[in-house]
Amino acid sequence: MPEPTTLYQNYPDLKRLRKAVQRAGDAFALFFVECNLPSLRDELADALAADMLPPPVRVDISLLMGGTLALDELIALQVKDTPAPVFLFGLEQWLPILSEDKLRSTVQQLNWRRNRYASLQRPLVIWLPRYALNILAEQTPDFYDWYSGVFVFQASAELQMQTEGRSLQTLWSDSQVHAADRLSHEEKTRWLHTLRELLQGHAQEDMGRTNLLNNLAYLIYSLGDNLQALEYYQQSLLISREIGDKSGEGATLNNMATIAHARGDYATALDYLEKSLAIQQEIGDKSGEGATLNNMATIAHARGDYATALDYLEKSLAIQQEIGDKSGEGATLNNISQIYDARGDYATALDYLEKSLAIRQEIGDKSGEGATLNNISQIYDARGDYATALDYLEKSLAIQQQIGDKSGEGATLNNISQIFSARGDYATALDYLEKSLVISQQIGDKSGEGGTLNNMATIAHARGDYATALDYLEKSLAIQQEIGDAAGMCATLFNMGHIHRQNAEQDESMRLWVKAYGIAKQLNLAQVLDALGNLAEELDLPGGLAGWDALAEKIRDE
Amino acid sequence: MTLAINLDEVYRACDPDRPLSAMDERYVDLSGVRGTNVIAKTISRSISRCDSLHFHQQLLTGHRGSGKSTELLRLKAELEVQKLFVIYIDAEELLDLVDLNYLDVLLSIAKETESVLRKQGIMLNDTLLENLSAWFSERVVEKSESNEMSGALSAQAEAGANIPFFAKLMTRITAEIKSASSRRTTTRQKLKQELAVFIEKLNVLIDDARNKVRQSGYKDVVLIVDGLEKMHYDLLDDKKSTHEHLFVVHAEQLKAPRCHIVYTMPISLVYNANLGNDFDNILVIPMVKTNAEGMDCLRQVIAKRVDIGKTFEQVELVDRLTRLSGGVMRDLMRLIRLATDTDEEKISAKEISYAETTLIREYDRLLRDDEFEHVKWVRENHRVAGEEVYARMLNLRLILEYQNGERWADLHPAVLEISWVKKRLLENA
Repeated sequence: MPEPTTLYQNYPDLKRLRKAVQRAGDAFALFFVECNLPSLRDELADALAADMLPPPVRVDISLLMGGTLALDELIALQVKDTPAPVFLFGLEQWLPILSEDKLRSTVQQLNWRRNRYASLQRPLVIWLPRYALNILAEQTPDFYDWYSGVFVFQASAELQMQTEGRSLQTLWSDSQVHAADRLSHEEKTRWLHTLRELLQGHAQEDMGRTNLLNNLAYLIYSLGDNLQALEYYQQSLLISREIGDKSGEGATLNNMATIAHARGDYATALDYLEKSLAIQQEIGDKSGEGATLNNMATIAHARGDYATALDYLEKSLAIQQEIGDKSGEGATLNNISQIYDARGDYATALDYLEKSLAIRQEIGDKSGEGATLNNISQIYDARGDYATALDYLEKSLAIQQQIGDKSGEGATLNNISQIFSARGDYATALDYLEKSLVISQQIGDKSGEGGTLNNMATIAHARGDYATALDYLEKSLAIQQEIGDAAGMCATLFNMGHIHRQNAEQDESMRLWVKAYGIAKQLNLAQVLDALGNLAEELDLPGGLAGWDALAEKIRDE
Repeated sequence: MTLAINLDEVYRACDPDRPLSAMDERYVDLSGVRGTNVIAKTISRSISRCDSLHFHQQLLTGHRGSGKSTELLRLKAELEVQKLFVIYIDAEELLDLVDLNYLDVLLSIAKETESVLRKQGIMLNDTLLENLSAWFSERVVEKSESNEMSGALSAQAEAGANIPFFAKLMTRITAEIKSASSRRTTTRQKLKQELAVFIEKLNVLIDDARNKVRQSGYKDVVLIVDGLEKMHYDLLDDKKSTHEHLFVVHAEQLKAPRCHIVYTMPISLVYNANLGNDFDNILVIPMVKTNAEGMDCLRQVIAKRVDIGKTFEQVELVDRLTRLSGGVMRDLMRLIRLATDTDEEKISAKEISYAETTLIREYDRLLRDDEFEHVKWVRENHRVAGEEVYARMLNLRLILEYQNGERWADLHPAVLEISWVKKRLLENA
């Protein structure tokens, strides 16, 4: 962060702003500050606060969406009796272009409660990004026309390159949870709009733009539109390559791999990861290398290739221990446990999980702690110790709710439902699943929604209600199709086939299994292929798995 | 009144948002350079010339920050000197300007007439108020709520024994109308169904008010409804604006109260061909012309507040500000305030440039790219066609109204200083 004196040199109008606020004294005066970069905004506000007496009261309303209080009342509550100027942040969140009702109600109260602001008897400085100030100027002409000064602070091009990425990241990475995972669907839509707006205003092909693109992509990914997210990542990748930003290129390739993974396209994911790894090794980005190896392990794990997965993870662990990357180490230990878990070696798995938990608690990685607690519960679950499993899950849930990790919360609720389901308490299980479903829908987590629907289908199936089970599965299939989750589709088709078989609809079930086989073969999904192999035997298909190929041809010919 | 002699005092002396009270020494009569007669005098003369069978009902408009409120306060004082009882209604305070309807305006008139009189110790007829309360309770307020409300209100009544039930009822109804509650819609629907009756009841109330003020030594009642010019601008489904709906489509209802009445209206309607048939006249408070005489007057406006010699490095610097203000009082005050954002002891050319740059940039913020054609047209023709797009530009003060024998319009001087506008005007020349 530059020294305040440098800030005053770079932004001479900062001194004018300070003067203007001081001159206003204990009388009302309205000032607007136009600043597009949250990081610069914070630096400027800090610098001003440091040499103003009394220091300003900062009121951030970005998280207060549509309370019952009017803005002037909110401010009055915050300032109480202290005779200090007010810095107001986050009003742009109250001026969403996409929600006409919200915009209207803000416009309404700014215009007609105008006189109330005067009774604050102190200067009010409203900090806004350019687009939001433009909306305000046009939509609330009477309020806006009240200004005693408008101050514009733009980052120099050079500064913008350094800070824009950081600024957006700081909004999101204050906890380990990606901000996109703690926003409601509505907030995401709003964010999406803001980011697109910022992107439009950012013509330069530089790091700032790639950061915007990456953030947009993640947001869109979290809303379930994998293909569009991929497009943004690709744009970002091109710029990184053009400007020679190797580290950005590696990170973006990793993100693209996540999407390919989510779609079940493991080959492509691995391809991206190998490219990323090569870059990171070239530029000596150890920390990135560790993360990439971890992601490669996840792919191998999904393919059932546990030996390779373990190999990657041990390499990753060595690197992280070498460079002292505790947070990475915690994640890798957790992931290693999952290999042993998959192999049925629960004792070793638990050992790794406890190591992971210790590290994560030590460094305060709450989100990681929640995930590890969840995994520990799965060990006890597998051992049939449901009470202990539930205990860990409740701890995990509490942490996730505390830090607002919606996506994690949804997953934990799902796991809790599995315990009740295993105990045969289907009603309670369904209850938890419905809660989880609401969260997934709220945050637009399509993949979570699909998973939950699948679990609901399992319960309906266990209760013998095949029609309902099929209904859930069809909904789940539609979602998986929408987000391009081929692996998920494969599993769902497989399960649907079973239900049709129980309904004595042999032709339909064969048709669905053939489809599932086609996907599993293409993606080389070991688990499903195994299951289909067993099924072929059970159904007396000639030639085991090859029997499905013959059947596929036969169906095509018809 | 002491003059400001340092920049702290200059800042305080130039508050763009405090209208001058009627007696303020700093008031400069700008009617000469505005090209209008003394506005308050004109209106009060028209009112006093009315015979007992007619009422003077008129519209008053002007740009935001043109000095409307200052003129209205003078009008009020002027009328009071002539023994007229003024009921001043601030629509901004009472109503929801984003969603405003003629019924709301009429309701607020009913409410304020009773309450302003009462505050002056003039009580309206008890039975009349009871009758009106009963009517509102039966016809306008929903049954279940009415009971609930009268229960709640009678509980309060003991605390404030002097306040009639009618007043409380009206306060409640107008508060609901203002707060965009769901009851707003039902209240309006019911009032509309009963419109003829409502207006009749309102007029009975006003008649009684006129009668009572006469008994207290006044000549008559004058209603001033201020703040309506700030109503939200929006185009509705029928291609008419919200402004046109209130002042053109519902002009007859606005004229329904049987008394002298002055409404402020949005400047955007000035060129609306359908306006004005219903009202006696429309008065525009135009901008001060920035010719030599006007500049003199504007300098006086400053000189009545500020010791120019002690606070400006050169006296001529003041002229740069008056010229760029376009005669808009608020912009002039704002420019001076902007120029004080410095630690120097006097305002120098550097500060003037800074103030100019800020004002020009803020007008740039409001001007749309596709409005350039209109900029060109107004610059060449010095008038405004009645199209909606001009309504927006007038409303945002990008175009200013002047009076020069006849009305004429021009661009705000700051608009002509926007760099892209300058460039394109040169290319187009």
